[in-house]
This record gives sequence, C-alpha cells and structure tokens, in this order.
Amino acid sequence: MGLLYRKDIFDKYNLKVPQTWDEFAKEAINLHQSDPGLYMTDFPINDGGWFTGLLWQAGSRPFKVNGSDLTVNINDAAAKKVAEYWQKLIDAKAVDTAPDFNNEWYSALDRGKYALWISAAWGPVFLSGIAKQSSGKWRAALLPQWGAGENVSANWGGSTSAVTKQSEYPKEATEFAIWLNHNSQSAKMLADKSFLFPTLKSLLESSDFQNRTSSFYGGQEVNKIFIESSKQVDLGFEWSPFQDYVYTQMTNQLGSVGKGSISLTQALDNLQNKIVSYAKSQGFHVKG
Amino acid sequence: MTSRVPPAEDRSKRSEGASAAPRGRRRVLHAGIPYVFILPFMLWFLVFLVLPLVYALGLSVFETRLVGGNAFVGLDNYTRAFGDANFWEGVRRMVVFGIFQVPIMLGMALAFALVLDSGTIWLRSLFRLGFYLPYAVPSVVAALIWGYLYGPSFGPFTQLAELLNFPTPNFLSDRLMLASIANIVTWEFTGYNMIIMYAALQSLPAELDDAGAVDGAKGWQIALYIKVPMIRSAIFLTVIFSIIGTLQLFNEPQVMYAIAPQVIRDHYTPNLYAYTLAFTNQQYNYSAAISFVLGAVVVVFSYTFMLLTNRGELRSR
Amino acid sequence: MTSLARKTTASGKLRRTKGVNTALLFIFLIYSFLPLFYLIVSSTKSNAELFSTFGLWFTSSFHLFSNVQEVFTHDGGIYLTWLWNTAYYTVLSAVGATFLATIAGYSFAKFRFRGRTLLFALVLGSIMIPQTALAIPLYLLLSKMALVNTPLAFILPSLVFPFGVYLMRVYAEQSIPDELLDAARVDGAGEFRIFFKVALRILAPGFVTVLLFAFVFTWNNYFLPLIVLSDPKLYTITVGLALWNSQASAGGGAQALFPLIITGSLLGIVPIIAAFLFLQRFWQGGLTFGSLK
Repeated sequence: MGLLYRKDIFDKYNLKVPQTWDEFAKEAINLHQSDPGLYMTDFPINDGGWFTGLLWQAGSRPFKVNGSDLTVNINDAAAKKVAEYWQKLIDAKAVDTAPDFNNEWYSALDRGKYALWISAAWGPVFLSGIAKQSSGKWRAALLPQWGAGENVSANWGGSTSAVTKQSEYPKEATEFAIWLNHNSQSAKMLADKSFLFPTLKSLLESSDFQNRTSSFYGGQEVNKIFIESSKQVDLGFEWSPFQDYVYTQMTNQLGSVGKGSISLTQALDNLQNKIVSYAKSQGFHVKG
Repeated sequence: MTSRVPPAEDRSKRSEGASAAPRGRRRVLHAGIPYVFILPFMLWFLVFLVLPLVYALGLSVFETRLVGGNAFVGLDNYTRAFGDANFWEGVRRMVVFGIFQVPIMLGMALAFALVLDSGTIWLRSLFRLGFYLPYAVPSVVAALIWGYLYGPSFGPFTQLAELLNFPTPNFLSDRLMLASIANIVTWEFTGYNMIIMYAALQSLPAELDDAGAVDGAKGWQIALYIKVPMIRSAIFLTVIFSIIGTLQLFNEPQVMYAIAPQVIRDHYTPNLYAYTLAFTNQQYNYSAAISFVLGAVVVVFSYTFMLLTNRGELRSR
Repeated sequence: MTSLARKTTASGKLRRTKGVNTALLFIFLIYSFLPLFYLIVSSTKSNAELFSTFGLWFTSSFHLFSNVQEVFTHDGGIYLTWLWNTAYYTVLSAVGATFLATIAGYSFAKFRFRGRTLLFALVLGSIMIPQTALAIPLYLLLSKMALVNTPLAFILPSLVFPFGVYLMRVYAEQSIPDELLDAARVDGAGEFRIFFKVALRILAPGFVTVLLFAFVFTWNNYFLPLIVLSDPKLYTITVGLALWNSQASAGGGAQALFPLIITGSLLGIVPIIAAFLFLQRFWQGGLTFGSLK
C-alpha cells in the first residue's frame, strides 16, 4: 500500500506529505476546516480489503489458521488502535465515508474532493485511467507510520493464480500457474502489458521498471515508492478461510459506523462475535 | 350485437353433430389431445424447473460445513429461517413497498394502455416503443445509469438543485432508499405491464367501439365500463406477477449495493439475503431453506389475493 | 381501429383530447427516456470526460464512433462474438419458449382435462420460488448431462417460460371464443389444424407479446449464463459487459474500460429495439369476428 496524493491541493493548503498517522490526522482536520468541501481522503465503508490493509499495517493479527483450528482476534489491541484513530477523524468530519469504486467516487477523485487516496501498487495505473482531468497533479508517497521512523507497510488486493479441487489436471495446472508468474518473459508481459506489480525480484530491481515515469504523476518514478513499500510489508499476517464472509460482515458493520449508529470500536467487537459464531457453525474449533 | 353467444338452437344442433361422429376413437383422441399440447412444455418444465427445485428442497434439510462436510439436519434450517430477523425485516419491507408501488405502477400502466388503445393520441408507435425501452435495459446497465443519476455529489438532480438553491434529497439515504428503488422498478416495468394490457385490449373485437357508440356511450365510458372488465384476466395476471416480483425483488437492490452498501447491507430484501447466504457465506443449505420460506410467503400473498378477488374464472369454465 | 364512435365525436373536442393525452403521456415518455439519454450522451464521451463533465449533456468532442470502434475491436473483437452468441441463443430460446408456452397456454385455456387445475397451480407455484434456489441445482443437473459450458446449457433451460404459459392462457381465454372452435370442429377439422389455422391467427397479438418478452428476458438474462458458461467465447453480452465492468473497477491490473462498457451497453439495446419494431405490426388485432358472422 501507499499514498497517491494531489500535489496541487497539498501546495495550495501548505500540507506536507505526512510521515506519521498523527501528522496525517492533524493535517486532515485542518484541511476540512479550511475548506468544508474538501476531505483529506475517503474512508470507504464498503471496502473490507482496504480496512484490513490498515489493520495489517498496525500489526493486527485477526486470524490464525491451523487445519480446523482457528483463532479469531479481529478486535485485538492493534485493531482497536486503528479503530479509535479513524473514529476520531470520522467524528471530526475530516474524512468522507463514501463507498469506493463507483461513479461518484471516481468523480470525486478526479475533481479534487479528496486530497489523497490510500491505495496500493496497482493504484497508479488504475487512477490514471479514471481521473484524466487531474492528470499531472498526482504524486505517490509511502504510508504514514504509527511510530516515527518506522518502516511498516501492508497489502491491499493483488492477484492469485489458483488451482481448484475440481481441476481435471491439477498437476499440470499448478505447473502452469507457477510458470505464468515465474517465467521471466511471462512475468515481464504481465508487468508491462497488464500493469500488474511484478512477482519476480529481477523485474522489480530492473532499472526499466524502477525508472519508469508517467506524466500523470508529473514525471515521478512512482514504481520506486511501491517497490520500497513492498519490502516493508509485514509477512506475519494471515487470512481467514472465508474472507468473503468477513468482508460482507465488515461492510455491514462499517456501514453502521458511517451512519453514526455505532463506533468503529464497537464495529470490531460486533465483527468478532459474528465471525466466531459463523466459524463455529462451519465446524471450526475456534479460539479467541 | 356481439357474436359471442350464439342462439340456443345452434348450440343443440352442434352437440348433436359431435355425438353423431364415431365415438370410441374420437373420444380417446379428444381425451389425449390436451395432454399432447401441454407435453412439450411440461416435459421441459419438469426437467429444468421442478427437478432442480426438488434438489434444492433436498439441500435445505442438510447442512454443509467447511469443516466436516454434510449432515442431515431435518427442519433445523426452516426453524432458523422462521426466527431470522433479517429475513422478516426484508419481508416487511417488501410488503410496504408493494402496497404503494404496485397500485401506482399498474394504475399508470392501465391508463396508458387504454389511451394508446383508444386512439386518442398522436405518435402512438413512438409511445409504444418509448414505454417499452426501459424494460429492454439490462440491470447491469441500469446500475451504471441510476448510480449516476442518484449521485449525492455529482448526480444531475443534485447539481440542478444546487443551481436552483433547493435542498437535494439524498436518494441513497436510509429514509429514501425504498422510494428510490420503487422509482427504478416503476421506471422499468410500467411499460412492460402496459404492453400486456395493451395487447389484451388489441385482441378485443373492434365492434365494441361501434356497439358502445350505438348505445350512446362516450369513449372513456366504453373504456372504463366495458373494456377494462373484459381484460380483467390480463390485469389480474399483472397483479399476481407484481406481487411475486415485489416479494422476490433482487436486481435493483443488488444494483444499489455498489453505491450505498451501508443502506442495503446483505439483507435488504429476502431474495438478496438468500443470494448472499449462498454465494458469499457459502451457506447453501440455509439459503435454500430461506428461498422456500420466501416461496411460501409468496404463495400465501398470491392466493389470498386470488381468494379476495374471487377469481372463479381461473378455476373453472 | 376506425369506428363509428370516433366519427360521431365533434372533431375539435377530439383534437383537444388527443392533445391533452399526448402531452400527459409525453411527460412519462421523457421519464422513460431520460436514463437512456444519459447512456447515449455518455457513449459520445472519452474516458477522461466521463467523470468530470455534466452527465446529461454532450461535450464539445464527439467520440461515439471511436468508442464504437473500440467496442468492436477490444480484446480481439470478443464483443462481436458475444453479440452473435446472444443473438442466436436468444432467437432460438425465445421462439422455442414462446411456442411451447403458446400450445400449453392454449390447452389450459381451451380444453377441460383431468389434472388441469393441479398442473396449472404447479406451473404458477413454481414461479413463486425465487430463482436463486435454482442456481446450483441447475448447474449440477447440466453438469451431469455434460452440457455445462455449451450453448445448450443456456438454451435448454431458457425454453421454460412459465410466465408465458400464464399469459397465453389469459389471452387465449379472452380472445378465442369457444363457439369459433366448436364451429371448426363441426366442420371436421382436427385439433392441430384448428390450433394452427384458427387459434394462432387470433392469438397473434398475444403471441407477439410473449415473444417480445421472452426475447428481452433471454437477451438480458444475466444470472443463467453467469452460472452455466465459463468460457468467455460463449458469453452473452450481459455477462461480457459485467466482465469488463469488474475488470474496470477491480484493484490489481484494472483497466479503464468505462467507455467500452457504456457504449457496449448501448449497442446491446439496439437489437431489442429492432425486434420490437419488427414485431409490432402484429399487434393489430380484433380482425377475427367477421368469420363468425
């Protein structure tokens, strides 16, 4: 993950690229006070993946899977820290709570309603496709940190090549999946033509990929930011065996947060209860 | 007058004629013919509708878990469904929806059909096409369009209201979402229902207008007192299907989910709930049970309506 | 539909009625057309303009033709494949479904036979169960028949159109007098001949209506092809557009495909309009009673 921010808005309101979440919060509150039509960013209440990425960066460990043993801790201390932080910003109306990836949201990005987008490595190309009018005004930066001087990042989204149980030729399919992502020519095509973030280190470190610039980002070598970020991703994070369910429940809960009926902390507690009972009904031995 | 009821003597002559024919073979043939006519449809119907439904019924008395596989649970899923607040919240919502939206939509459809049929309008073909168009738009596309139109910041209504200094209602809020969806459904299906009624009117004998005129009746009187009762089967059909469609509402709420997920969540309508249970939560068995309970609710409402309006015609004749 | 009634009305009053009615219906026409207008206007815009300009009016640049060209050539012209698939799946399914529905509806309406009420109640009752319940069983069934991911997987289930049966029954009951059929029987005609020569002619407006509905329903069917087809070369337009839509809005390798989706949607509606225009001439009814007199 990383930030994609509007340099023109930052310049106009004298904002610095926030290095810590504390700085981010201060700037967000000030920005909205200076111009009520502007938000530092959007907190998308429908995007479980985005929110999970932020929990990830803060050190939260919502799931631990061991066969049919499952530990669920979606409301652990790190998660609560993130929850309280964003609740403060929501209460101060320093961030918007609109759902993402729809017409309204694309318009908002393009027309400068949000000063930045907390995004991921696939973000730069995607943004350049939907926010044409604001071309040249965007820049990339690393995620703000919880502690000054830290270097922690997380993942949001991405792709997987998976072979299912129903496959008629599982061995061959697996070999193909591995080849698809490891073969240097194939990986290069995926990176160059599909704009997928490279899976091969050799590609990541190639000067061709590193030095790539685009006018949309004012000539900045955007890939370097995300290469740096990818090195900082905390690898101890685990997913649940039923992430679709988790995301749907998150949307339900975050939706209520957006409406102001519950707090983000309460949402996490509700999520914990719902996930635990679902997991039990699916036959897992649940702890936590 | 009308030629619907022939004089009595003709009728008796006809029955004589029929019985004068060779009995045995004709009777067998006659007995079999109706079944031959419905056979192609019934065969397909049994294979592609009834069979899967039976299977779904079977699914609903089991439980499949991610860990541990299948287990027979009898009526557990149904007991759970009857006590499921999410489900009944959706049903209540749809009943409220139906009470307002269906009469308005069908009332307009009937009025338009009568006007188009009566010829008291110019550009009739243009209107027929124009009213039909919304039904022709697939729901994936409707998503894009209405998502834009209802947009709280950049939608045209909002922008227009800002220009005129009116306060814009938030179409996607908790309060207004049902009305917003009702609007989409009305937009999509008024023309559709109008066409059903219009075709029914078109197949009424043209002599009706003349006959009414001879008796001194005015155009709208003919329409209201003669034509409408004559197409009441078609109207009845549109009501039944509107009841079914309302209780089974799925496409439009799903479309709204992308832009207002906090309002729709996963159980805004019972059918949406069934879908989420099956395809997101992977609780196929419970989803099947929910679908059948919903089906039962639809049956109750539909047959109550039929009894209330005393549809003798469909039962016998 | 000229008749005595209209000729006896004062022509000035008639014109006023026509004017008022036309105006009122025109308001509804605008309401019906507005969202489509948005679609048309958006099809003339480039990706950059889509989210930054006022949606209900054109911009100075006109990109319709390049958008259309893009739709037809994107991804090796797969849209044309989708268009062709949708066309022949739909024609086959709609004609077949309407025909099955017509003979069944006619039978329910005009014959008295044992089990009629029960069977009809079964047909009606089955529609009351939401199709969501059918999705997986249908897939498993087609899988057992080894038909999954073939055009038949779409066409065969689409031939079942219970709504059409009910509709045809209503039309048949309402517009075909028993006496007409009896008269034909007395003349010695067999039931099939009666059906094709007598009943079908009268039912023409109803048949066209059911055909039109079956056509639209099948053309726009999204759920069924989504479940039973997995090869994009077999997709219909609805599923294809949804595919582009998810490619456009997903994270990870997302591409800006919105003009494609919008223009593709617009193009997908054109055949349905064509079908309507072609079939609407069969809506002139009420020509039948002369035969009894």
